[in-house]
Amino acid sequence: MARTSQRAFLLCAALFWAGRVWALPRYGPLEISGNASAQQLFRSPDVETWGLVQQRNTFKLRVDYNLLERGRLADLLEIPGIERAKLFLLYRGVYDSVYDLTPGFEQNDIYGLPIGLRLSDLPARTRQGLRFENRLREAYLDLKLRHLPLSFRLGRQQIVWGETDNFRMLDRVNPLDLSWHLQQETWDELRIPLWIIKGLWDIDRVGPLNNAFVEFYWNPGDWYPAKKAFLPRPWSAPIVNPLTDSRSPPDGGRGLFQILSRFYQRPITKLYRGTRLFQQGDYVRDPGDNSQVGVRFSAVTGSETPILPEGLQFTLNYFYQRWPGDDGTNAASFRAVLDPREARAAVLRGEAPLEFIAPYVHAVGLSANYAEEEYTQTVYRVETIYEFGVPFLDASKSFSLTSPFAILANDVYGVSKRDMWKGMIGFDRPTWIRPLNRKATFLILGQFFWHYLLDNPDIACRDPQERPPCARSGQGKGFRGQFSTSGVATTGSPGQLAYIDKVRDWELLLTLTATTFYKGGKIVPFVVYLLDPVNSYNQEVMLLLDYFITNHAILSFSQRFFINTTDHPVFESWGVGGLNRGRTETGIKFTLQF
Amino acid sequence: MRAGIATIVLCTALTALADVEPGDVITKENVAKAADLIGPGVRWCVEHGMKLHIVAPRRVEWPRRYREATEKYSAQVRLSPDRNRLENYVAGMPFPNIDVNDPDAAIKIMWNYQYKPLITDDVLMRDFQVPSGPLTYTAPMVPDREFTIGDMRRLYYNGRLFVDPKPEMPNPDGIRYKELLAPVVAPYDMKGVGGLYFRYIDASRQDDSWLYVPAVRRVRRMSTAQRSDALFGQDADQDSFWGYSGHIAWSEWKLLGVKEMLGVLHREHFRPQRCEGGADFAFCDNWEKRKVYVIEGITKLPQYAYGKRVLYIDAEAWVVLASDIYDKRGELWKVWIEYFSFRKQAPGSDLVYEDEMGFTSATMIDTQMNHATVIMIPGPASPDPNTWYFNQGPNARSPYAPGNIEEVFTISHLINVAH
Repeated sequence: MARTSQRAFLLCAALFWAGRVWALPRYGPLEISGNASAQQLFRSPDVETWGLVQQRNTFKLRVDYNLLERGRLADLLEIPGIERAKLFLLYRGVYDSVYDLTPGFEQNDIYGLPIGLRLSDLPARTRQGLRFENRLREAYLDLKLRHLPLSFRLGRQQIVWGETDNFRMLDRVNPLDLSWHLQQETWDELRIPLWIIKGLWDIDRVGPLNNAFVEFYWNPGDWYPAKKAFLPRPWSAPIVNPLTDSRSPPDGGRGLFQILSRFYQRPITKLYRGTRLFQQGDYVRDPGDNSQVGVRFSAVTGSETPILPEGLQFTLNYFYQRWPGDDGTNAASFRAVLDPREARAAVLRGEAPLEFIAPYVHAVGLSANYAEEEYTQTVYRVETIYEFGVPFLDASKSFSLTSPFAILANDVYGVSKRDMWKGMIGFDRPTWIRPLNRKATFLILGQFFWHYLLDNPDIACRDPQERPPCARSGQGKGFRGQFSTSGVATTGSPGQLAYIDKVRDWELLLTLTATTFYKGGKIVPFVVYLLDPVNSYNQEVMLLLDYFITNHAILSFSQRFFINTTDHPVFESWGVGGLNRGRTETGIKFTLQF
Repeated sequence: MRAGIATIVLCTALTALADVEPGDVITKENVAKAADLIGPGVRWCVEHGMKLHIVAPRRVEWPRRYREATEKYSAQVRLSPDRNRLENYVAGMPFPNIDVNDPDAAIKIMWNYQYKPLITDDVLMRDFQVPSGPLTYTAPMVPDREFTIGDMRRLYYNGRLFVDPKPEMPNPDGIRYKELLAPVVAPYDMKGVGGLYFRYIDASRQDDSWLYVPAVRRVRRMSTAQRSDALFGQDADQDSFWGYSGHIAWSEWKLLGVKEMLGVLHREHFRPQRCEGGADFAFCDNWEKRKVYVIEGITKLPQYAYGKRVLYIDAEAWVVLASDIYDKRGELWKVWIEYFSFRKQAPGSDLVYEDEMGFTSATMIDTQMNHATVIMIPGPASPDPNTWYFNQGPNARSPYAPGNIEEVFTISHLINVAH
């Protein structure tokens, strides 16, 4: 498979270079376009250390083909019932050369500890599997029916709803591939396209509303949870795999599987019921067990709309989906199988009494935008969502200290579900800052996000006299985040390196972005600032600059600073300066497009 | 007395010298010859290499239906007390008889321009190229950005004369027109970008604008303040399309004069020919003398890019021939030039119009940054002769949408056409 991928990628790249097709190739109803890029990322955890962490070569090929126009196929054959049909294909081939070159330094995890591993420590077979991606990312057919205001998009696709930029609430149809570069690329690259049936019913006018439409989708089983990777993959989550812990020290490793295998004197290599961490829960990937649905109504208010101002665009949304775990919520990805009989049976089957979960969650949401031109010349955006039954790790649901599973009592928990209310208020304002740019405005975008967890229990230790992180007595009650550890899992003995990853009632985030155009659009800078005021004011500063050498050649520079204002780990789930501690990156990317 | 006569004779002689004749070619060497016939912007272009081939002027006839509607309805049209609205307007030209001494002459000219005969119902321009790049004036422009636009279309809701429903579509929201620029076909980083704009008859209501951004895969609301901002950093802004596309109510207008000036109404080359060498920021084509209203517009909008515009509006065709655009300090910043080709049929097209239609291309030159954007319709890479559709409604053909019909000018269409 890897060899086939390699050949396909090289063939596409060769065709691109050999063709020198700078102009857009169009052959009647066929359009071909795409790009090839090479991205280099250098990481610098401190002023003395730096190293290459990514050398990614990407080739994209896009095909747009007008199959049917005005109900006629190739202008010859009348097709009943269909007005237009268009085929869209998008291929992405990737070669990550770092899996061959294995450059870089030993990395630290989120606790600030050296993991003792380099990229070269990954088995050759694993690296071989990771270095190529060869995928038809999107492939769908657009159909417009002839006598109905109804159109369909059928096939593998991305669906994006909502108003937020680079943080997710209503944009939840496609889970993210966070192994690509954690969350440091555009969502367009990170979303996992899925096989979906999407329909759009164009209503236009409903009472005092105009531009009204209903959009709905059904994913008949092709759904995955968010994809996550572990260290030493350089752009993974900042921990080693908690199940397998590839460090393999002399004592046999500190991964959960390794600890359980030693403890129970039998090989334990799987999760409960064959679930796979961040890959597959206890369900079958078929329409009966894994369907996802969503619907939204969108409209613009007219002059006679009561209460609301004229020109306000809004959407009302509903989703029934599995929980993907990629929107910055500190939710549970797994649950302990606390029933002793079930747990014992699992161990006998070679399974850990721990299950990866992706439960269905109902969600209702609203988004709106409004351009206020008279006083502020600003577009205001709002998005909010209410989720029913989000899973959280609950420390009050743990193995008994006297049970055969006491070794897990302080690190794996059962799950309790709670509702969450999330939202964003934002603004977009084109602003003249003439001392910096006399020729074009700066587009300034601001966003304020909140997550509110309803009915969040207090945290406490087993010993009421002890205060969290409960290094002596162990966890007592309250919700725990994904980075909580009693120390048992990391050191083998309680009392050391214990951390509580608190699940907070409120999580907040501020984002501020500014961009403009210089030299007639030749130079396009972006400045992005993110502040998490809840978790020790961790921050991120991004400086991005696109330089169009020609219309077909783009040089992009990027500099990301992840700022942890403390000397201890900051457990935040937005993916800002806490999660990315020590990952300050400098990037250079060269793109050729046609 | 004798000295006075001598002065008059000398001035007459000089005036005669500062004139052009058919067959003349105006270049930077003899630009003084056309000094009185061109504005500062066009003069700047000539001084930087553009050539004006002078031809005899030809009439531009109004479409028959427009003429008849003007005769029928113009007498009843009145300006609203605040001058920002027309009362009793149905179709045709609202104020066909302009008295330059009328204190409302400037605003009436602008209303005539708003309801000009060029397009009354709808228009589609498709598959055209828009290169932009720095100017050296010695060597051809090397574009740093070049966009290929799939469709640019506009649908008017009132003053309609050709396509049912006439003269006004069902219009509960008071739309003047809807405009769609979608999709951008190339380059790849811009592929799929699309914009949707609503202009309202009521001057107190600002435009509504949405932009589909493929990078975020969704439709974003835009502020009207961005209408004067150069699109994606190149030189042309939305309000400069067609010479001026902003709302009349957004500026204070002043009639600077009525003059004979040069403009392009009958291009020799239907496929626009860029000037040679370092002057390829402009098209070198036929210019003819025209009666022109010179109108100054000073914006009322606080976030507007420009200090003022001077529009050169043809008194017969009611199109902007050129526009000089000044910065907030009063210095010439940009020059917009339209290059019309009034004709009944595009070469190679199977579509023959009842009247002469104004096929056009345009250039926008940033004189301060030495940068230009060239809008070529049809573009050099457009194989299809049918790149223009005037007042064709559902028969305006394009691979991206079924015609200039209402369902195309919607947010849902923008989502559907986008990828």
